[in-house]
Amino acid sequence: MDNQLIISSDSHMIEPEDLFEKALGDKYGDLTPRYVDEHLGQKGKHYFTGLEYIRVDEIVEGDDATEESRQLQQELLAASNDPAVRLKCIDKDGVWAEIINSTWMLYSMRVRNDDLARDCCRIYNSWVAEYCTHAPNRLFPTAMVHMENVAWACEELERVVKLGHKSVLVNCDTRPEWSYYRDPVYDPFWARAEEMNVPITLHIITGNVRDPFTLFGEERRNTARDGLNICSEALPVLLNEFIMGEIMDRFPKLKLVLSEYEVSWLPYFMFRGKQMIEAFGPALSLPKIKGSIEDYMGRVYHGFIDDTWVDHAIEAVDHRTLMWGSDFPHARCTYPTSQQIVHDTLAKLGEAKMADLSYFNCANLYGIELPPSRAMAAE
Amino acid sequence: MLSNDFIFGGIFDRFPKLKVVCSEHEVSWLPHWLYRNRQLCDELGQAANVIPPKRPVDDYQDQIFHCMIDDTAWEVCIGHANLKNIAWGSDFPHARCTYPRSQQVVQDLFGNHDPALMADLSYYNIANFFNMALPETREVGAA
Repeated sequence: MDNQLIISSDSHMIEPEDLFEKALGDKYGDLTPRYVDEHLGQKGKHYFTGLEYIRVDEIVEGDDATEESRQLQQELLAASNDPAVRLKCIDKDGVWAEIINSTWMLYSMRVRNDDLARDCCRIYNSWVAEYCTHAPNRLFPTAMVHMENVAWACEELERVVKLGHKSVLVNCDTRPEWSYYRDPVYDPFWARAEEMNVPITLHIITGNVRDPFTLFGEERRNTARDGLNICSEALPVLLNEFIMGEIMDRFPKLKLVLSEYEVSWLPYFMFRGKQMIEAFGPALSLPKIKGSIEDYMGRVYHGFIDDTWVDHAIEAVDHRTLMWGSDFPHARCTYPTSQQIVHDTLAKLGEAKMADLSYFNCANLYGIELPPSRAMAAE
Repeated sequence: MLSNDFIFGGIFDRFPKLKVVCSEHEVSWLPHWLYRNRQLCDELGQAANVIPPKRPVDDYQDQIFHCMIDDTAWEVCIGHANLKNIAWGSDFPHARCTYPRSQQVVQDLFGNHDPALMADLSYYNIANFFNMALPETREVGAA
C-alpha cells in the first residue's frame, strides 16, 4: 500500500472543559453546559449539554481497558486543547488537512433556551477560529449557527466568515415550533451563504432525534431505533425542504454538506427522490420544481467515514460529491489507522477515484490549498 | 422498529421461526441498513454498551421478507441480501400500481438478469413464502 496524504472532511474538537462556564459566568445558572463528575448515580466524567448528559469516555476513542487505550484517549483529549498535539496526530495519520466540527456544541444545538444556544455558538465559533489559526492552511473550522432567529443567524454568518470559517453547520432539522426551512423567512440566510460561497452543513445530533449516547438505563434499549433515526434525520429535510421546498431552486448556487450520514443510502434516496418529483409530487398537486433529482444532488456533498458500500453510492451520484472523513477523535474514528481504512474502503474504486474521495473532492469544495506532493513525509 | 424491536429487542431470538414481511418499503435501502446494523452490533454498540442480539445481525435476515414494486435501484441488494427473500408486487389498484403494464415493468426491472432470478423475484419467491399452489405452466393465458 503506497500511502498518500488524505484530507478529512469531518473531524471534531472536544471543547475545553471550562469553555462555556468561563465565558458565560452565572448568566444561565445550572443550565450552563459543563463537565460534571456524576449522573444518575453513575460516577465518571460526564458532559452536561444544557439539556442532556453524555459519558465522556463513551464519546472519545479509547478507554480504561488497557494502558495503551488509556493513553490514546488522553492523547485525543490533549489534541483538542493543544494544536501542536493535533498536528502531530494528523501527521502520524497521514492527514494533510481537516474540516473541523464541534462535539459538545453539536449537542447544545438542542438546548431549549435559544439565547443560551446562540451564546454558546458565538463562544464556540470564536474559540475554534482562534485554535485553527495555529495552522491556517491545514485546520479549517466549521461554525455553529442556531437557526431559531434568522436575523441573528445572518449576523453570525457574516462574523464567522470574517473569522475564517469555511462552512456553517445549522440545526439538521427545524424544531416542531419553528417554521420549516422551506419558509422564505430563512431565505436571507441561504441567500448570504450562497453569495459568500459558504456551504451549509447538516450534521447528525443537531436535530430532534436524541443521540443514543445521551440515553441512560432502560432508555438505552432504544439505541438501534434512535441510532438509525439520527443517522438518517437529514434525509427527509434534504428532500422535503431543500429540494421539493424549492430552496435549491431559489438559490441555484447554494451548496449543502451532509456530514456523518454515510453514503450507501444514496441509491435508495435517488429512487425515492425521483419518485417524489416525477410521480407523487404531481399526483399530490405539489408545486412543480425546476430540476431533476440528479440536478439538485450535484450540489449536495456527503461526508462518510467507513461506509463499506461506497461503490453503490458512486453508481447513484457524481463521485466528486463524496468525501471521506476521519471523525477524529470520536469513538468510531479512524485514527491512527486512517491510511489503512481509506485503502480498505476505497481501493476497489481505483486509484483516481480513491484520490478524489479521500483528498481532492474536499479540497475542491472548501478551496483548500494543497502541498506540492501527496507523498507522506518520512517519520 | 425492525432493528430496534425485532432484532436488538430480542423478538426474533425469542421466536426464531417468526417471519416479518416488509411490504411497500422497497429494497434498495437494505445494504445501508445492514451496514448500520452491523455498526450497531460492533463498534457503536460496544461504545454505547448496548446489549447485542444473540446471533450475528446477518443471521436474522432470513426471518425478514421484502416486497418491492418498481425500485429501480434494487440491484444494490445483489451480493448483500438473500434474493430468495425479495418479491415483486403490483400495488394494484393504488395510484402507483403497475397495472395494466405489470409484465413490462417486471421485464424492465429484472430483464437484464438471469431468467431464473427474474422468475424467483416475480413469481417463485412469493409463492414459496406463502406456500401457494402454482399452475402447471407459467405461460400467460394458459390457465
